[in-house]
Parts: sequence; C-alpha cells; structure tokens
Amino acid sequence: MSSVSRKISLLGDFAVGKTSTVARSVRNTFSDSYLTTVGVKVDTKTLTRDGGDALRLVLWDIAGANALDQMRANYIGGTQGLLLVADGTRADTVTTALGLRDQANRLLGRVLPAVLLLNKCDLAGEWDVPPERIRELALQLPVFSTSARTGEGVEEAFLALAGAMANDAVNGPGRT
Amino acid sequence: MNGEYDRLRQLLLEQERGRMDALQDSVHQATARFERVPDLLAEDIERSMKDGSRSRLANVLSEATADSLEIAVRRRPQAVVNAVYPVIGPAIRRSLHDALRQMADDLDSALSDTFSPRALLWRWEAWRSGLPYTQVVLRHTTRYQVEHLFLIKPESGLLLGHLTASGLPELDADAVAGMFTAINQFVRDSVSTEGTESGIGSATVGGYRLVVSEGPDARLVAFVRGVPSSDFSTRLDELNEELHARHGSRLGDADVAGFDSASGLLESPQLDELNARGAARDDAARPSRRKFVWAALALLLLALLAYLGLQWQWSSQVDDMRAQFATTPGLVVSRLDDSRRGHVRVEGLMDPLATDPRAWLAQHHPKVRVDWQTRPFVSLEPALVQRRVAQTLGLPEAVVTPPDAKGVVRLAGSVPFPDWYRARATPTTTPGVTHVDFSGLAYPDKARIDAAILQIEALKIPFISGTVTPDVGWEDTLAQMGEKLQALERSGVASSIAFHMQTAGLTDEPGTLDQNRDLRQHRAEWLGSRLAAKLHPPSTIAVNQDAAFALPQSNRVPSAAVSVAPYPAPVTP
Repeated sequence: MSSVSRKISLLGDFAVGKTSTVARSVRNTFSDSYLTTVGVKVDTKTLTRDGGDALRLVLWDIAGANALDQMRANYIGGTQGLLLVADGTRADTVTTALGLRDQANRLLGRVLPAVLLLNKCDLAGEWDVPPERIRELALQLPVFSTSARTGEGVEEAFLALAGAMANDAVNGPGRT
Repeated sequence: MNGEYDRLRQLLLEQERGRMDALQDSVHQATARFERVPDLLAEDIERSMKDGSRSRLANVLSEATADSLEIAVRRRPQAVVNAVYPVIGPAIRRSLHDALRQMADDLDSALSDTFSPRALLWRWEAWRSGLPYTQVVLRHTTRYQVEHLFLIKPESGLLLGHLTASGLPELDADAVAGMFTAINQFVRDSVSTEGTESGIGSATVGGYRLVVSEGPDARLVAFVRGVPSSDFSTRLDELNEELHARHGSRLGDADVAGFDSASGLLESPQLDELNARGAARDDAARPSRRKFVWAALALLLLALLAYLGLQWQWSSQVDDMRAQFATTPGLVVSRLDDSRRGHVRVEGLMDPLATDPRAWLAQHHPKVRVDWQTRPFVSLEPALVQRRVAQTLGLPEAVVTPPDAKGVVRLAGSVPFPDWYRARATPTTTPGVTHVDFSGLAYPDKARIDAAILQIEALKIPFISGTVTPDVGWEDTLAQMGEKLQALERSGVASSIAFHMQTAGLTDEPGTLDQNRDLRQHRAEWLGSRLAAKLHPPSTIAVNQDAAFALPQSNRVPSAAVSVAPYPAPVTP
C-alpha cells in the first residue's frame, strides 16, 4: 500500500466557519491559537481511495481574510487544492471566497482544484445566497452546503476535492 | 499571341519547372523540420532523462557545455564568478557562518567549562584514564538522541519522509511538518533580514534541540533530545546532500508520486547512523561513567575518612593541650575554644612565674596557632611558691623546698658563699610562706669555718678584776687567737670570704655600771688594738660598742673576746 500527500489550503472570509467546519473530520494536533499568532494551523485528514491507497490531506487552515497578504501568500506555496468556505447567510463571503481562489491561482500560476463550501446551511431562515447564484457557482466548481454544527456535506466536499486533485494530477494542471 | 507564347514557354520550361517545384517542396520540408529542431532536441533530452540513459545529444551537449564553461572561466573568470555568485554565495556564507558559530560555541564552551567543577572532574578523569581532555569532554557533551527526523518539501511543507526513534509515541508527522514549515515561513517573514533564503537554522524547545538542514528540494529537520555535538549540523547537512544526490529531481515531485513506505524517502539506517555516533559515545562513556561513580564514591569515602582522621587528630591535640594546661602550675584556663581546626583560643589566669606553655606548644604542637587571653595573678601553688622564694632570695630553685602545710619553706644544699650571704640578708615576705628555714643552707667549707670561728670565739684574754691589765697567761691566749684568725683568713681567700671581727670586753658583777662600762670598753679596745696588728685586709675589726653597754652577768669573768662574722670579700679591681 502506498500513500500520497496533498496540500490543501482552506480559504475564506472572516468568521465564515472554516475551522469549525472541518474540525470534526480532521486530526487536530495544534491549538487554534496558532491562527491568531502564526496565522495558520495545519491539520491532517486521511482518505482511503478505491485501490486501498491512502491519501493524506494536509489541511492548511489559513486565518480568515478577504485578500491574501504577503504572509498568507507564503502559506499558499505548494498548495494542490483549495477548500473555499463561504457563509451562506452572508452572500458577499461567496465573492470573497472566489476572489481568494483567483488570487491563489495567480500566485501559484495555475488553476487549482477547488470546492466551495456554503456553510451554515442549518440556518435556513437566514440564508442569503439565492439558488440561481448557487447554480451559477456550480458551473464553475463543485459547491456543497455544509453545516459546522451537524457536519453535513463536509466529507463529501473532501471526497470531491480529492477526486478533483486526482484528475488534476492525471490531466495536468491548468494554466491561468 | 499570349496563349501561344505561354504554351511555348510551357513546352520549353516544363521540365525545369518541375525541378523547381520539387526543390521548393524540399526547401519547405527542410524549413518545417528546422522549425521543429528545438522541439526535437527537447524531446530527446526529456526522453534521455526519463530513461536514465544518456543520448548522443546529451553527451555532446555535456562535453560542449563543459568545454564552454572551461573556456569562459579561463577567459572571463570575473564574469563567471558574478554569474554563479548568487548561487554559491549563500552556500559559502552559510558554511562560513556555521564554521564560525561552531568555533564560537567550542570556544565559549571551553572558556565556560575550564574552571567549573565539572571541567575539573573531566580533567581528573582524563588524567586517570590517560585520554586526551578534549576526548573526555566530547564524551560527556555529545549524549543525545535523534527522536524524530523529518524530510520536508520546503515550499509546500509536505512530508517527504519521517523516521521516529523506537519506543516513542506516534505523532502526526504531516501536521508537524506542515506546522514547522508555516512557523519557519512566519519567522522568515517576520524577523529575517537576510532575504528569503534564511529561516530557522536551529532552535531549542524544552529538552529538544531542533536542527535544520536546508536543501534546494528538501529540508531535513531533526528533533534531538539532549545536546548534540557541534558537528551534528554538518552531519545533518551531509545526510541531506546524500538524499539529494540519491533522489535528485525525484525530491521535487516525490509527494505527487507518493511513497511505498511510511518513512517515505528516509530509511531507518539513516536515523541509526545519526544516533549511532551519539549512542556510541554514550556506550563508550558508560563503563567509564560507572568507574567514575565508583571513583567518586571512593574519593568521597577517602575524603570522609580524611576528615574523620583530621578531626580525631585535632581532638587528640586539643585533649593533650587541655591536659597540659591543667597540670601547669600557675595557669588557670577558664575557656578553651577549639572550634577551628589548627586554631585555639585560651582564656584564663596565668602567674607570671608559671612555666610558659608556649614553649611546650612549640615543641609538641608547632602547627597549632594559639591566641592567649590571660590575666596575671599570684598563684599559691607550692611549685610557684617555691619558685617565687628562690627568685626572691636569688637562690637556685633546687635548694628551696616547697612550703609545708604550715607554710614553712626550708632551704637545703650548698651554694656559693655570696649567694648564701645575700640570701641570709634578704627579707622574705612571699605570699603563702610563713617562715624560711636557712639552717639547711650552706656554702663550701662552712663546717670547717664555723668550727674555726667557734674555736676563736671560745678564747678569752683574762684581765685582773677592776683593771684593764691582762692577767697571767694572756700572752699565750693572744698569740693563739692571732694564729687562728690568720688561719681563718687564709682559708677564706679561696672562697672569697672575708671576716669581720668585733672585740668585746667582759666584766664581773662588782662595780658600778659606769666602771664596768669603762672596763668593757677599754678591755675591748685593748684586744682590738692587739689583733688589728695581726689581721690583713679585707678582714676588718671593730669594737663592739653594744657589748660595752651590756649589763654585767653573774657568770662572766673579767676578760676580752672576739666574735667573727664572715662576709663576701670585696672584689678588687
């Protein structure tokens, strides 16, 4: 059995629930305080692929921001997949997530496999992203409605991102 | 016309035109092939790199590149230096930095350890074992264990390999590698002033020392428990270079390709190799350490025995001093402080005539320093009384006996006549003494002289009663008296004894006091004048005036006599 590692950057605006969304499904080694001190926290998650091979996802949870500054840009280096997180109750965070994706693609000079998590789906009454917008987003990248409270949609998002990265490795990266 | 002309031209040039078209096609094909040359060359190079075999083109290019580089270095060395400086500059700088830091560490360690107790122990161990001091120091300072070894892709922080020493709990190596990379970037961005190439070179976290080796395609990080040797960083660099040499460009995409083993591109022997040197030194040091422990215990025991021995010796010395002081007449010790070895403080009373204990101390305990805090007093110890009497009378202590229960001091023995004479003449008021008995004190020939004096004093010149006229037989008595006095003078010369004679007249009871006083005075003068002619200096003669006024006694007969008293002969210059 062989194992492959992939670096995934978790991007999103402030307070969209990046850390809490993935907290349930990843292996936490370090304290969340690193997010406010160093600006990043690294967790891991292992997926078992169809052939029995292990896929180790090294998840770089980068402190929330609406743009990648120099420090965050350095943390992006070597990223092979993006886990974009937006707050479904704040439509503007979707735009921020897509903007962060574009900025990361420009920094790395390639189109990274990415999935978008529309978080807080359990707050249906406050939902701010219209279905048309979601359908429009789904044309660009896989979109998942997730809940940090219930863990809904998170595992599917990881599997989808793993699949996208596998395709990316086979077909070669796209150019920006 | 034109049609015919064209037809004619076609007929004439048909064959040439075909050749030109063929040539043009050939040129087009050659041009197309030429445009593909870069792609063909690239494909050839890529194919050779993938296959691991070197193509003819690769061989030619490598030779040509080497030749070109050689020519360039020869012709324009400065340009080549400028070109490669950005590449090798940081490497040289780091090498120099590491070497200087290592030297500084060694120097600092040497200076700080030179006079420490630990260094002295190491020097003693080196002396005992015969090993060089530096080897002993290394043996003690290189005890460490590499507990974790990470091979990390610098840019992404992805783990390329990880080894853990046996017996340690598993950790999330991917997360640690990623977090270390993040912190390294954070430190580099936050505090580094040397550009983007620098990062964490080493760090200390509790009992761990993080040692980092940077390579172009991989970063090797060792978590070391203990204090690694100063060359550990160099050896880690060597391992990183070895990994780069072995895996080459595979390091760049190793994470993409994945690993067949949990340790990735690292192999257990590499960790063992890093640990082996530390462990080897540790193992080599263990028997020596055991010996050292025994030696230390033996040394401690010896020190304890030496301490007890010294304490016992000091206690014996103090007891000896106490006993001596207690038996020294005239010395009363009220307090003796012996809390400091080799130093005694004595407080008490001491008679000035007591035997000085310093002489005894100088002879029996010459290394002991004694501070005396004593006050004078007069001791009634018999020995001190004896000494005081002897000193007062100017006599040897041997002729003076200690006072008896009644305080009587007896003198016994023979002393020179002047000492005897002076002692007899000296009054004694010594505390503790009621009486001094001189009867046992003599001088040479005293018995004979005393006997001669008794004989002389027994002779009497008879006088007719009531007159100053000598009676019958006086001539013989006077002659005999003169001869004996002269013999006495002669006998005293050897002992420097002179004699003082006093003549005295004696009367019977009849007659008045005035008559008898006149008779005694005249009879004494009569005898003195006769004897003076017979005596020689330093002998002296005088009339005893006291005898002239003495009351007449019934048993006395009219006569004249002489009394003799010895005295020290004056020293003639």
